[in-house]
Amino acid sequence: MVGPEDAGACSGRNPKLLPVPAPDPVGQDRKVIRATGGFGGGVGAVEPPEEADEEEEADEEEETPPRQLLQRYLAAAGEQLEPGLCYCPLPAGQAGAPPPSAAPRSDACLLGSGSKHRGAEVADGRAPRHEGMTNGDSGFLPGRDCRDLEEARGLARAGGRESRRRRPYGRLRLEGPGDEDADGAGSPSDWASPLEDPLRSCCLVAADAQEPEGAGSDSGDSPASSCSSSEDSEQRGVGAGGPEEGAPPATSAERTNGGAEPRLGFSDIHFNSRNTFQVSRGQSARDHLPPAGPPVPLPAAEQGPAGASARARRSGGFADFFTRNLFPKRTKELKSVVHSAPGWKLFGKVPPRENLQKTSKIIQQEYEARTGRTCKPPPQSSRRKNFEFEPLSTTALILEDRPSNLPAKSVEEALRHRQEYDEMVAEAKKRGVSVADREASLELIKLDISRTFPSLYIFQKGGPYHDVLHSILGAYTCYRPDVGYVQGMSFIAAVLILNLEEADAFIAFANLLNKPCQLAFFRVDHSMVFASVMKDIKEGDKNSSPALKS
Amino acid sequence: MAKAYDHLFKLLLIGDSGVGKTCLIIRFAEDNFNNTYISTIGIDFKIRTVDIEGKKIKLQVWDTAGQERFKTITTAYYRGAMGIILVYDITDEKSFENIQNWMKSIKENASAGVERLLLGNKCDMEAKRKVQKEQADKAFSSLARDILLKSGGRRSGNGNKPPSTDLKTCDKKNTNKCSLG
Repeated sequence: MVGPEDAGACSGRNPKLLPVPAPDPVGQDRKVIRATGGFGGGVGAVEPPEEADEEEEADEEEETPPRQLLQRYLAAAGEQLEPGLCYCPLPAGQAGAPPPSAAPRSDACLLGSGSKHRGAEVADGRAPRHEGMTNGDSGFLPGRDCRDLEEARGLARAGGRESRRRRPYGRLRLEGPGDEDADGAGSPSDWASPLEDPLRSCCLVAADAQEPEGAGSDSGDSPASSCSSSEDSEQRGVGAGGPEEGAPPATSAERTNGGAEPRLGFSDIHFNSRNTFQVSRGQSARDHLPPAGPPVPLPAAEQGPAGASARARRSGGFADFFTRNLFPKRTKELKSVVHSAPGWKLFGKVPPRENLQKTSKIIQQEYEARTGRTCKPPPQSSRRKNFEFEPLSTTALILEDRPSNLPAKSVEEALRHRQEYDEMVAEAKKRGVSVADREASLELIKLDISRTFPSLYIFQKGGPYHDVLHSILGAYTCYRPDVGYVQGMSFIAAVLILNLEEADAFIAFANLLNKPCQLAFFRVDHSMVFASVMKDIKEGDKNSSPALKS
Repeated sequence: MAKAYDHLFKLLLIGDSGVGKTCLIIRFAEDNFNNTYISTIGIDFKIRTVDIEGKKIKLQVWDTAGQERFKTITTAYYRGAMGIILVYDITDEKSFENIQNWMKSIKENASAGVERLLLGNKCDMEAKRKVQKEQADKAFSSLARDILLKSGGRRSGNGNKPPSTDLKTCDKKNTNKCSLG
């Protein structure tokens, strides 16, 4: 229901764009664009096969995408909890320079296509992509990186994955951003931002995971190797995505855009966003763009029939540029968002690399490693804040090669970083959530749903919000397998459900739990909780209670 | 002022999530039951004072969250406990299997020689029973001094005796042991 409606709204914006399933190579660019264009829409665009339907659907429904995403998450959780959907093994982002460039693309695309793609994304969401969802989650973060890498490399495959991922974004964003679209890009960006951070982290994790598994040694030894590994993973992912995408022919517009060429253009855009700050801006811009996307001045050529899709894509790129100027305030918001950005990718639903499915443990490890690592300096700072409790968090970049403009690591340093990384991985393993744990989480969710505000009689089995609550909690478990479900979350989600639409509720929920304090609590990270409490106490002492000082 | 009690015993309830620990504790402390118990987050406790052999025994019963995630929190309460009640759900085989894990947790965290009590909850749902009493007897025969008792957390219908009685008994014995020990 909602989906169709939303789609309608979306359709108004860029229904055509969404459906466009470009060829693998093209698809990447297009997908990227789509994703960038609309939070929701971008994702939808990713999947080519459903495009036509999606377009229609998109036109009809915008809201559905987020819901679909959630559902997908849930489905994914049910089916693939273990694989760590969110963990896309995409190290590309981490890889460094190449990925950043790619990232900008995706952002740009998302921005531009956002509004248009929403509808498409929604449609996509409707389409059965549950697998994609899970994968998508992981894919999101990695996806971008991969995309970037691919773009840099000129890979066509990446497109497919990206498109999927993007769709999820679009969906999620759609709901939240949907309103925002009308208002402006700002609101969407806000939503996205919190999510993005997790996603990014996920991406990073994925990369980490990959490294540990096999490439890890390489990456550790040489940052470059890590990058390559990530790229490979991305490529893999892309390849996986490609076929799928290929199946669903991209919209005419997308096709017209052509695979390679569009990519290049997009890639440029993405490059801009790569840096955390830039990315954040880009994202925010993108976010803004989706809503603003349609209004955003598109090149005349783009405006053509196929142009619609092109517009969306480009609009993403343009959006990046314009957004900054048009939405300076939002940009700030975006920055803030960027810090907590992980969520983005989740929403984006970047299709996880099916080939790269990792065990939950691996995923966790990767995730933690990721948190520790940060490809981008700005993100690191934010991450550090979020993960102060994690040991060696500052070593996020450990395995990363240094930028070419900085002196390379010495052998000793590289070895030490390698060791630190191994320690982080080991720590992550300790904390790591096993598949069994995740399954247990799902069981527990079932148990707790009916125990949530029982006096209201709306969350019990058969109640109107039983399934919604289940979906959101399950989706979050997929979204953040490192956190999973913790008793008590159901009440937070329930309160949000009572006040927001499902998709919005999920986004708000994910973002809320991404706050350092909440995250620390739900991870039952005593050291972090203790640290934060002590910090508060110290601050309090300074302000008022001298007695405490002594 | 005279103490309101002669002895204070700290008891701890552990077991899988959803087996009815909170239900038990509320039944025990407040003697009532409803279907709207919520999941315990972290830890909670109830106090009840009972008279045993002319002495006022204050029972401080700690109710823990069953989720694995909270184990790091709940295990911190093991050491101070004088008696630990392991609860499983007779309609949930897994909760019974996990008793072994809980036992292990006790061994690792609780003070040596702590009294243990195995309790099968939800006896009012006999039709759905998955864990036979004999199983429990056999599996935990090592708990020689402990009591194996099944308790129904809720009144299954008219005329059914509230399970609280059983729980009381069990607690009494437990407290006696504690006091003796």
